[in-house]
Amino acid sequence: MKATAAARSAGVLPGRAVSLLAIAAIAAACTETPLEEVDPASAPGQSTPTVEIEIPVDALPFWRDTAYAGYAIPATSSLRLLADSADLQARVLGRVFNLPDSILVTDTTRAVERFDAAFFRLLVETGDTVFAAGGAEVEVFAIETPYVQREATWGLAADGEPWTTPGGDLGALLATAAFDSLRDTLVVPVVVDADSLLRSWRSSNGEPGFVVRVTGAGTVLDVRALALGFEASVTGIDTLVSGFRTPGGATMLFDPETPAPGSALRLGALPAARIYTSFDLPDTWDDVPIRGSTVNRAALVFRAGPSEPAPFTLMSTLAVTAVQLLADPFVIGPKTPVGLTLSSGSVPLDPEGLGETGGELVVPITSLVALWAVADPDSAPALRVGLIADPEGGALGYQRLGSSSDAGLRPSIRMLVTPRVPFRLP
Amino acid sequence: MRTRTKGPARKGGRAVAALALALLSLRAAPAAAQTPATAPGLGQTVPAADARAAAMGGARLGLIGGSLSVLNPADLTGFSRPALGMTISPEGVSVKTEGGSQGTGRSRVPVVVAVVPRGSWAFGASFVAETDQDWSIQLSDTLSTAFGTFPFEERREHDGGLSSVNLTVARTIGSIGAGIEAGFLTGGLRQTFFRNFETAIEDPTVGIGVARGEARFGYSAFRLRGGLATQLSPGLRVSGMLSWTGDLEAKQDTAAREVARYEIPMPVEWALGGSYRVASRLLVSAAGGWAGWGGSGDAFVSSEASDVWWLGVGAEWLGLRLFGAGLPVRAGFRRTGLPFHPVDRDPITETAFTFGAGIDVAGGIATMDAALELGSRGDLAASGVEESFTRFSLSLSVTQP
Repeated sequence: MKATAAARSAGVLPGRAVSLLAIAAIAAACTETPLEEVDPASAPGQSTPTVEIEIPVDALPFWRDTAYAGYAIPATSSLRLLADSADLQARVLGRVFNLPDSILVTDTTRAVERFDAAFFRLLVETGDTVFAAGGAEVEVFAIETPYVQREATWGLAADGEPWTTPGGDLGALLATAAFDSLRDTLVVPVVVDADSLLRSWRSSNGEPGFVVRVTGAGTVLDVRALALGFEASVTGIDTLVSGFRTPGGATMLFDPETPAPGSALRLGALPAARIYTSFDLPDTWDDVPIRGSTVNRAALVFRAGPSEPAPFTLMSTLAVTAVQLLADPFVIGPKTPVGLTLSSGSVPLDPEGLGETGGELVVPITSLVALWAVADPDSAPALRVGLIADPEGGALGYQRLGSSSDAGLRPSIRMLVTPRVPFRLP
Repeated sequence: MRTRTKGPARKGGRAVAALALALLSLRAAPAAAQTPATAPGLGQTVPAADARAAAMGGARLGLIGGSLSVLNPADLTGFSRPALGMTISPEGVSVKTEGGSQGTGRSRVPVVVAVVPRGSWAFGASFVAETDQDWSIQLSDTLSTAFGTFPFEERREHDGGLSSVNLTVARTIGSIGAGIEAGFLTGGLRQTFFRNFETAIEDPTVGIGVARGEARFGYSAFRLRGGLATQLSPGLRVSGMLSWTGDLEAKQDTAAREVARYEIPMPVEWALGGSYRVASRLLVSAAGGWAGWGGSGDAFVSSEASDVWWLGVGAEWLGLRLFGAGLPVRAGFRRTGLPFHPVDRDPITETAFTFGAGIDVAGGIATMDAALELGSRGDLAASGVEESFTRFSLSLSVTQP
């Protein structure tokens, strides 16, 4: 740079010193820190609001819903009620098998010579039990008509085979005990010859079985465990040996029987009911694009119908989980295969929380809808959702929910959607 | 933090939500917000001036003593030895807002130049930062929905700008230097927004995740510049330049489904300037120009463009010495129009008082110049943008002995 050299003095500074100055200056260079904005509407840059939308199911391109029942039945449920009330009659059936002909006593197997005594032991959930003011009597009868565990109901011993007397054909009274107060363990002694009864059951594998009932107006016992206890004489020792056997083939008969769901939606009940839906979403709703957008949250919103009368009033909270259905439930039916759950946790269905008719049950299905929104339309997942209440069959009560045919209680789909930003040059 | 209720989109609420969506997503015109000058259009233009020219009010045409700035290709005829120079310009910015001001900063390398004279010819290559689109903003708000109330933080960011790579040929013919420069304008812009929702205030187990968006634009254009410069006397040099740029193609090359392409008309520019040694130790300079950016605004969603004038004046005094070395000190003033401004707002004008000094180092092989510019740009009420800035420029050049 000829002119520069001429314009400046011939004197120079040491390069190292000036380099240090330069480094210090660069170090002092300003950093780019983001500006803080208080008003999203006036902030520069292109963005898009996250918008809440709610679509009634009758406005969807497609929606079907139904309730299927039978996912837990009395034979598979853990619910065992003994009831003698105006609203509910309930009994328990069972069979005692695997009664021993020998018992291991201190490393020696000894033959059973005789069953000296026997009793039924009932462990009762006292919190859910209603005990009649005047006391209650628990009775165990031989049952005269063989029953099929998974088919027996209050009216039927097996499919197509009604009891002679609804509620089971009671035979001889085998055990009985009266109780004047509630306790958590009820022992009902066998009042017939224990040896002949248990030998008979041992030889017949418990057939045809027994039925347990309670009498005492207004009594409802929630039986959590039922066992037959016995004391037996064995060879070689003088003392009695005791043992317990849990009956098999157990089930519960109750009256009235659970009404069929019909077109109504329900969760809970015994047989347990599930809600299955199949639907499609519009690409846009009220000018808000859904397809192609980020779905921050999506949920099925069901609205509670009126409470069911006793004994089907839902009394306790259910945990509701949404699952993806792997086939069309309206083609496959109740046995439609179930896929992954659609949210990380379950939603409580609290009958008190639902309040009056119209209370909302909001079940997240975000993962399914979010995937649908961003997938190519030709490969988007089918929107088929099942609602499962846990525990299934844990109570007779159920919650009715509005279906697409219930004006005013129709379900809806609620979403938080962030549409894609239509970025342009600023 | 404010609470905004977007609410369930039932009945009228849905219409409101849709209207808000349309307004916010399609036309993001800031009313009187914290809009930085780099936000509108192609951003803030960056003068391709080295620290010496910057200290003299940006008057970089016909500068006696030479300048490793880039504007008039004919000015390369002022070099007799190969030279290489680079300038860095960090800038501290205070952005005025309705409630006060906020500080931020920008760092740039405005110009890198190499010059190789060969007889009456001179060849040059340069890299120039033409515009700066870098900025970011973050905000907090709360979204109230039927699912719950979700505080969120949102960050919007632009990263990019326009640069050029230029090849220059100049020749001295008699007392006149003539030059021509071919420039390829390139660069890009990455726009992002990221919204991070906290869990619901009412139930920490309920979350709605994040929302994000991103777009990338790539720029390309071709520019031709021609210029003349002459030494009218040993103490007077004048210089002029004319520039034409083809339409800038802005191609959206993001992974988004819609790929867009925009053609942005670029300006014809001219500039005149010169310097005059009024005394043995005092040099004065002046330069100005015009750029026809007015037709460039149609492609932008929230910005407009306007033609701009610029003018700079400065002086250099050679009377000081430091550690035995000459210490030229400089001062100047400039006023520059910025081509882009928020839509429906007034154009932005930038003014600055400039100061600087220079020194030869390492036995004269290298030269270091520094400049300090104190200025402001825009008016919050009129143009929607108002900033004050302090720009420090540092140029380092090496010359073949």
